[in-house]
Amino acid sequence: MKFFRLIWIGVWRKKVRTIFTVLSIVVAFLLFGMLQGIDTTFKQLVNQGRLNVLIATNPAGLPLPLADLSEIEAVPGITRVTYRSLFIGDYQSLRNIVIVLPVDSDNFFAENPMFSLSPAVRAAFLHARTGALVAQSLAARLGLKAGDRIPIHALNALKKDGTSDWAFDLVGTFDIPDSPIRDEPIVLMNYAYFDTARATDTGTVQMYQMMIADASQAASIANTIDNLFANSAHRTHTETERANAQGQLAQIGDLDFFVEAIVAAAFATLLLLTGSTLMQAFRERTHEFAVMKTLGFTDRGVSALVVSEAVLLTVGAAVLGLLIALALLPALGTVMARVGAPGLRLPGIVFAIGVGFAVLLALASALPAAWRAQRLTIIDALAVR
Amino acid sequence: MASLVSLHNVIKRYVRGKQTIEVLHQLDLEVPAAQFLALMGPSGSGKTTLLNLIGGLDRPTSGEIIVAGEHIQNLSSGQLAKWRARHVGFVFQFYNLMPMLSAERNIELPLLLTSLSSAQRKRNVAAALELVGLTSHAKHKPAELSGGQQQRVAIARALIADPTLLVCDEPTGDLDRASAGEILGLLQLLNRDQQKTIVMVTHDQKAADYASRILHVDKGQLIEAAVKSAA
Ligand SMILES: Nc1ncnc2c1ncn2[C@@H]1O[C@H](COP(=O)(O)OP(=O)(O)OP(=O)(O)O)[C@@H](O)[C@H]1O
Ligand SMILES: [Mg+2]
Repeated sequence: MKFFRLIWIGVWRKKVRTIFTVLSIVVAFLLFGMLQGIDTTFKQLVNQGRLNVLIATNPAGLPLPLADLSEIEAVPGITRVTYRSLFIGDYQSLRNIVIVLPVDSDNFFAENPMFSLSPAVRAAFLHARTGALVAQSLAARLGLKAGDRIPIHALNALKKDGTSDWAFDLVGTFDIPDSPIRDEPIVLMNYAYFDTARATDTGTVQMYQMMIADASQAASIANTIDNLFANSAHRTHTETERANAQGQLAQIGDLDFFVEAIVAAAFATLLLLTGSTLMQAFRERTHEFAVMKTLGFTDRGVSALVVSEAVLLTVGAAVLGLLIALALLPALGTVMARVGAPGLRLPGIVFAIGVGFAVLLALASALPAAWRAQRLTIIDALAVR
Repeated sequence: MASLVSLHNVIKRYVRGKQTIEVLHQLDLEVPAAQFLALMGPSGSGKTTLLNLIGGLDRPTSGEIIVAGEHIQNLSSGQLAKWRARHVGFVFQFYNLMPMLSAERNIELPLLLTSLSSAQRKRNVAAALELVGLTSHAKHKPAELSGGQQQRVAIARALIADPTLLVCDEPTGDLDRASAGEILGLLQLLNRDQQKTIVMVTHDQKAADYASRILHVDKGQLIEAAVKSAA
């Protein structure tokens, strides 16, 4: 590309100005990348929520009696029910927060096939009363291996012996591939052990999870369940796993709107900024463009140079910003995952959309300058000295 | 001898608001190939206007301009640009070099519009630098060169694509006597040794004396001053 040098030199004509322009574009696209990365992760989380799985919780967040189990199992259309509790703890120090899920190991894995583990480990866990499974990433981070005795200090689960110190025998690890929650510090334990050892709320669960045969019946089955307990002290709110995930996200706020508003504002500012910068750069160079036309560069050729400079500048800076987002997101995600937030990443499609935006931005902001470059007449421009 | 440049009945008017000025009145001109023509005349007489028409930088209000067999007043702006690239080299009073580019990159500029390979371009640029005696200044930016050196770079750039016609508007107007002598000697050499046709505007009789023919532009008309032998 023999014109590249010309374009490159044009871009760097005023170094300081170019650096500031590049920086603002980098920052805008870094912001775009980060926000879109967070947004897509949350969307992915919602989309992975299944429509043939129902979640029943108490609307006030109270525990539900385990005694409800047989009644729920009897509801027509439900093929399997599992349940679980949850407490937060730490391993050795508060720096290593863990989320402990006491599960009904008979049904938990059958209903949650995204937890991938070897059949041998699964069987061992089923038969080890004080056994525990930890997420692969957590095991790697804490240096844990099967056979280890792991103490976990609970933050919200008191034991009958008056302490909050739980001890587990590590049976093995599991993985949740392709999931934003892959790196969350999850520990699975047997519900039976949890329920007999804990001091409060015995005989209760945090939620029920039901597999149904026909997803189109989800609403009516949910209704049936909620009606069963409508008059009890422990009412239920039942919805699909996806709606449940959506509801949890809604608590954070209308993320979509937030992201779009910020990105739109940033891009509008950027458009004005790069547009006026390019126009200014053009004005300083009318004489040079006239000389190029004298030498035989066509009107279109000169305006193509102006546009190419804008594209190189904008797309180059945008790619830089997106690459920084690409590098930062997983790092940020890893840090956040330690406290239980989903892992973050920048999908290729977001990267591509970002580059597309940058091209549009370049074309839009270069338009006035390119138009003027095209119309520039040699004798008028050369006469001005 | 066949004319390289022919102007017939050329009228050029400029319109400024409500005012119309006719700068060239029904002008005729024949420039034979390989002639070194000097155009003289008072300021504002229309020398630059005439030169711009010959070089295809501007269009006549009426009349025809035939250069190297092409009726250039009929060409579209794009065709005209391509035609200039092939047939005309320009040298201006203020050099008009690209300030960001080194001498060699300035000279290379017209070659970017050709299909020459990078190696061929490099070779041609080296030869042009040699011709104007600036091989040792190839990497210098215009700001790092004297006026005379900048004008030599401009001449090398004007020559690099091997045009039939060189068009120079007061090429020595901004130079001291010694540098002016070098530039004019160079133009004369190009005219004699390479048979380049040159049309040069100048205020300076000493400069005009380097040419083989001198015309005076006066009140929009041309007056033959002297016909010198090509020797
Ligand atoms: N673009 C233009 N628009 C309007 N009038 C113009 C334009 N260019 C030149 N003129 C007018 O045409 C006349 C001739 O100008 P031109 O530049 O050709 O003169 P010149 O002989 O080259 O003068 P100088 O010796 O000062 O360079 C002048 O009166 C000038 O004001
Ligand atoms: Mg003039």
